[in-house]
Amino acid sequence: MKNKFLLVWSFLIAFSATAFAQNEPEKGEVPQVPDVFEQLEEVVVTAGGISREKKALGFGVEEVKGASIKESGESNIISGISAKVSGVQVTNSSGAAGAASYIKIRGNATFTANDNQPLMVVDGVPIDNSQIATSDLRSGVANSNRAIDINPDDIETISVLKGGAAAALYGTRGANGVILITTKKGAYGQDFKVNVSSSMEISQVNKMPETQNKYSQGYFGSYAGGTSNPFSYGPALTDLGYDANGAITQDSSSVVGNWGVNPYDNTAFFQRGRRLNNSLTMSGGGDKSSYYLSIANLQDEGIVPLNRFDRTTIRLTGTGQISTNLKATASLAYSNSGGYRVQQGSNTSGLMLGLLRTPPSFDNSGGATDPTDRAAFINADGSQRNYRAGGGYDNPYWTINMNPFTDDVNRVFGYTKFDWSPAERLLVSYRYGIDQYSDVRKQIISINSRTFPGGSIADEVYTVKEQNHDLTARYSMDLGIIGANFFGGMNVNQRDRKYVGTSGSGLVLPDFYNMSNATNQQAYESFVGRRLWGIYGEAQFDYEDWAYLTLTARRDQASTFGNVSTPILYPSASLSLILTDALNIQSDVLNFAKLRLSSAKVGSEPGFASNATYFNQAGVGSGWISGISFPYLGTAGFTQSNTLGNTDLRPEYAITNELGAEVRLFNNKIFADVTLYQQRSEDLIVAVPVAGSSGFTSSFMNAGSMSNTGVELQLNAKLIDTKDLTWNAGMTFTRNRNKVIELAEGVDVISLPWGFFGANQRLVAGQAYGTLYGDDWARDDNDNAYVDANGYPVYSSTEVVVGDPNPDYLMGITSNLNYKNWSFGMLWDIRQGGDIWNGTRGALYYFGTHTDTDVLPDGTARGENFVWEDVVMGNSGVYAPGTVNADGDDISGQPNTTEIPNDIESYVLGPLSGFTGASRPFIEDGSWVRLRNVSANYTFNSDALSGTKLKGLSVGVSGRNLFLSTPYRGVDPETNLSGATNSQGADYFNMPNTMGIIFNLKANL
Amino acid sequence: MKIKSLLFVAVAAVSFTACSDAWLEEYRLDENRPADVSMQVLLPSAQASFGMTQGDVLPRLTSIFMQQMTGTDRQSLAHNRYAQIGEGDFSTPWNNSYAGGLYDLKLIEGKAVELNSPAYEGVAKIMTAMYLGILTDHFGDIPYTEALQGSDELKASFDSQESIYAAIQTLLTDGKAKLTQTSDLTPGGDDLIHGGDLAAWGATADGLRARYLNHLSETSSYNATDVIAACDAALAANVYSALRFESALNQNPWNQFTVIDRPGYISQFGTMYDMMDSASDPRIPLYRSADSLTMPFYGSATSVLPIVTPFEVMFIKAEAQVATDANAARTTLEAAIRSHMGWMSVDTAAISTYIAALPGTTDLELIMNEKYVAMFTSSESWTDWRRTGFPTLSAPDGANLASIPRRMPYPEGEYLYNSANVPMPLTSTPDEKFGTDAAGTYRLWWDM
Repeated sequence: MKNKFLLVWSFLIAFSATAFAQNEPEKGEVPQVPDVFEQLEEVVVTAGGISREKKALGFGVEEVKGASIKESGESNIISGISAKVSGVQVTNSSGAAGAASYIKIRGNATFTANDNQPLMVVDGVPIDNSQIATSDLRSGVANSNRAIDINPDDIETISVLKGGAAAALYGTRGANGVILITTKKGAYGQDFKVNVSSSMEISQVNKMPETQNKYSQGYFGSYAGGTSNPFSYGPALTDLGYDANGAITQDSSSVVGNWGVNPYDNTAFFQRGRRLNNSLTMSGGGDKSSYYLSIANLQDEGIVPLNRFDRTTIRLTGTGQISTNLKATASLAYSNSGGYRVQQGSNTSGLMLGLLRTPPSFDNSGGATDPTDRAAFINADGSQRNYRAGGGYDNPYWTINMNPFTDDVNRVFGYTKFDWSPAERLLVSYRYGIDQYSDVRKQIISINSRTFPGGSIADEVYTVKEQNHDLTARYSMDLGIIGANFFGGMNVNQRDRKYVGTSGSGLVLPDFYNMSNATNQQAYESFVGRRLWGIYGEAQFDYEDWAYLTLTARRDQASTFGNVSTPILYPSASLSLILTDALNIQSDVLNFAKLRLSSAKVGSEPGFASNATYFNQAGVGSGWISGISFPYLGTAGFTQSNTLGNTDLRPEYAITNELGAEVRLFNNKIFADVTLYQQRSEDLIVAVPVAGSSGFTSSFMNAGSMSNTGVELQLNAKLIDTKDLTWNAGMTFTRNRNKVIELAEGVDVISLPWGFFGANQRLVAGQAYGTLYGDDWARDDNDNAYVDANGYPVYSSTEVVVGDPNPDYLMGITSNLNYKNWSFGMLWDIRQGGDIWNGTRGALYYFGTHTDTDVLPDGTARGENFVWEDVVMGNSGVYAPGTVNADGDDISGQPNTTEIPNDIESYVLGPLSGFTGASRPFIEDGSWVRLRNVSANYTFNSDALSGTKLKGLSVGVSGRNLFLSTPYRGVDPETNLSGATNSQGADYFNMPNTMGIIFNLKANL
Repeated sequence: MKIKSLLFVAVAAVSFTACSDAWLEEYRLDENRPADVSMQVLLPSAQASFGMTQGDVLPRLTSIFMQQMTGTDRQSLAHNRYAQIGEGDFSTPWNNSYAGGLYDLKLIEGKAVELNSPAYEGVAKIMTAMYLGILTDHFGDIPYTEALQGSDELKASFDSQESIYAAIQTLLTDGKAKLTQTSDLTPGGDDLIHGGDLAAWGATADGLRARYLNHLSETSSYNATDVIAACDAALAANVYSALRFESALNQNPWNQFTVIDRPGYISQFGTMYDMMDSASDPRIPLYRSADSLTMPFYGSATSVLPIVTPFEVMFIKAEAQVATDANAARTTLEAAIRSHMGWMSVDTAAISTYIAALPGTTDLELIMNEKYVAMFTSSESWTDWRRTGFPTLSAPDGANLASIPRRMPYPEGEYLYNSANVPMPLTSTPDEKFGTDAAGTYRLWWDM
């Protein structure tokens, strides 16, 4: 039954196609090769994959060339867009090889759907870009977002459809914008072309949290090396010595030779990363056919030893004229990707957690130079060698060797498309697209690992499949001064995600990781399926080539509603006015001026399984322990889901109004584009938390509204334009202000997933999306922190707003200078604002490894006294009510002058660490200025290549992230604990980011 | 021909449209999860949730308050000073109870009536009483009559603790009565506490009756005779109500905390151990490991989690007897100690030595001090201390509160989503929230 309609559908299509083929020859559609370099005729790809003159568009669309993505040197195309498009924010979650990148266009349009990421469409076919997590996203490994399977070499252009009007034709999936990727193709009559490119990047860690190298393991001045003592509050390394066996000792009678031991630099653990990228593309065409073939291979070895991500892709696209009025196109891409990933984050096997907590008196490597040398991490008796005598946290060398996570993704995506022109000006097209992959994973936690001392194995297979049918018709009319184009279609979409997984624990044999070695095994499965169908239409009118009106409408129905007949309607209207043509302005100063106006209403469907209340397999845990999961004691257990489903959910809607202007000045030497937009999302669907006493903890509702307002700016200037020397500079500016207007009635707070007890992301009326909440100090009415008689701030467990992870603005500045055969490029990336919870620093205060526990920024050394200062008010706080000094005088409300020591008393027994006190002091400004890319390329003249078979050759070198300036005191602030999710702005032992030098070579045959 | 072909396309589109609702409908529901389930799978779920309510967050805090163990790392370290305990910490036990076990028990009760199976109804009522008892003794007034209504009442009112206590007795009496009625379906292997032994459930109901009658010792409704009668009914059978655990997965929650997930957070020393040391208590090596980090008897992977035990009932009885008959109380007390130590397999001679060394005078303090040691890991010790003041404890230096906590703050979820009904404002001072303010504004009803 399930596939019956698809079957009928396919049959009809096949039959129709045969019928078309029998038609008399008529004028066929000639594939467009857009001449994008002729600015006034600039053509961009818009919804439905239709190329349109940019001047006709009444909404904002920005395009990035494939070459620019490739030049970024990023393996993930999402990262390659960074800082290049206004209105777009990209956050690479870490420098781990294969780590996910998060992309968000014009802020958050929904509360939770799709993590507010745009729909990805390749040649008209939607593809999956999810980040599938094996573990809790705060721990586990850095998984990829699946756009990483796309070979950057295959990309011709990326169009970013930003606003509602641009994306309205995509319906429910376009609510957060659309990334339209057009791949390279051959052209009819094109000569055979071969491009070979090769690049190699050498990378290293670009920024680490600062750690101290003066104090040893232990506390209160007593050395505790070789014990389970977690702290680095022991004696100074200068007050220790080596005994006759070379062991560190504090005992003067055992010290042999001079006092003083050498600190170990455990960050030497990181290595040089290496990324190799080789690709070969071929394209060409005959009279009635064209083809494109590419094969590429990426090998990315991370800065963490053993961490790697590899990808091999093949793409074949062919077009042929079946008859003069019928064209068939098929495109198939295969990719194999995957890697060896490393445990990270809030996880006792997490790499940075174990590494940064290690005192400088302990050498994690144990003197080994090869990161796979077992002597570093396994003692002779088989137990783990780490600084806490086998307890505590995994030795980083143990983590990389003993706790591997591997994934293997095999993916096929592509489409077949028929374009039939039964009459002049009429084009009927049908496209069937498929995106299917399997992701096979194995996560091993070996025996004696700290997360699972008994060892565990997880074997998982995810199978994701998306099928998409589009049947469209286009018709154009010319009524003299008025032109009209009509476009209409029908879309049928099905998405299936299956998961089967087995986890085993209680391993018996060491170093053997088949499920047969597990004394306990649990199996899991799930299926998530969604179906959607819709019809859509677009009408474009132009008047004398200076006024363009576009009207669109779409109607969808989705399987996720309680009533599947519920329609979602999306109208949009946009207007483009070419003022220079309308007013007949011909000037050397003002060459072109255009005004854009658009308005759209875009809807979204509910999430899967929100339309009913179910029973879940029972399991009960807490944040402290894993608790009980069924089957338990041989019984099956089910419990009513804590989330109330809702059969009456309506679509949620976002209404966007956009106003834009474009001008070209001084003989087209300067181009400026400014966009103002306002978006209001209503009826947002969310699992609204309810009081537990109702028997449930949340209930799906159409609740709440949210707004985004923003300004986008693009500026491009041809500063120099001569035969030998050209210099173009450009700038993008993005400013979005998000505000949650209201949540459900009586609900003030909705917590986003992946929050941390120290700082968690919430939706709160009046605040921006994902505002960070955390603990603060108790404060008086003027916000002065209360301090007790001992000089310590008073902890208040009530959580308050502590930060906003949304940046104030983003800027990208580009410069491209060409001199004869040389070209030099630069991309500066500026982010102002965007708070990050530096949970790493908070934890390292507790452990005594942070540099501040050696010398505070104000110069207070370990053991010296200082007066505490509040980061919020910039003062030392006031004495809490009822505070009495040693003389018995009440000093309540007076400024605090009591000194406290920069030592264990304050950070472990006192409230100054992230574990013992408020989280607010650890919220930091995540602003940055970075040189994201700088490059120099030399292209050989064709005469220099005469005598060779080469038609073109260029060599170049570029640098990625070579400069970074930031007030943030941890790793590179381009980071996020939970990766590509709605919950941004958290750093808890995140993997560091990287900088690199890339050498590249390109040749054409 | 062209027209014909176009027609095909149109027919294809229209034919799909006509069937589209049916096509969508096939994907509407989540096929991974059942829409309804039987009592046989709900009961073990409700029991497992109870294990976590009784064995996870709450008793760890109360054991630290009662100085039966000591926080030695991270948050537990702060808990020694009654610091870093906020509303958010109570969401887990509260939601595990209401949205977990209590809701499942409500479903069982409904289904049992429908399926003419009073045996399930009786067990569900007794277990509901267990949940209400533990919740009210921590939080005082709690939602009950308007609770568990789902979307019909998302903002349940709170019932007074006095009425909750009355409801507990009614549930236990009614529940026990149901057990003996003819039942189409009866619990068996799905009953993880008594394996379907309905008589044992009856004894459990009596034991709980005794416990909750005894909690009223400071109120006017206290009646020692009733307590003793309930104790005798419970003791007629030697029934231990307890949850069992597994060796590799689903271990005892104390084991999960002290060994697997949070080693070092809590260590085994404190006032209770000092008392045991001075009495040369033979249970010490069973209570704590040599390094004081783990709990061999109560916190091994497969240690049972006692819910109601004969020794607890004997201590209750001794307490009820002592005011009127010290000799009888002495006999019951010694039996209670023997019962506890015997359950732990302490050597008989060592038990006798211990008992012989007890102070000669039998008073409330002696009974409560002994019960305090024997009820290790249970939050009953905290309730007993609040009622009787024994053992004599004092708050540590540098404590965040004026004295040892006498109640818990309400959980965050009720403040956020049901604030109008919560009987204590969120802005109350920490001392008010923990019942340690001089006025005792929010002290529990029975804590007078």
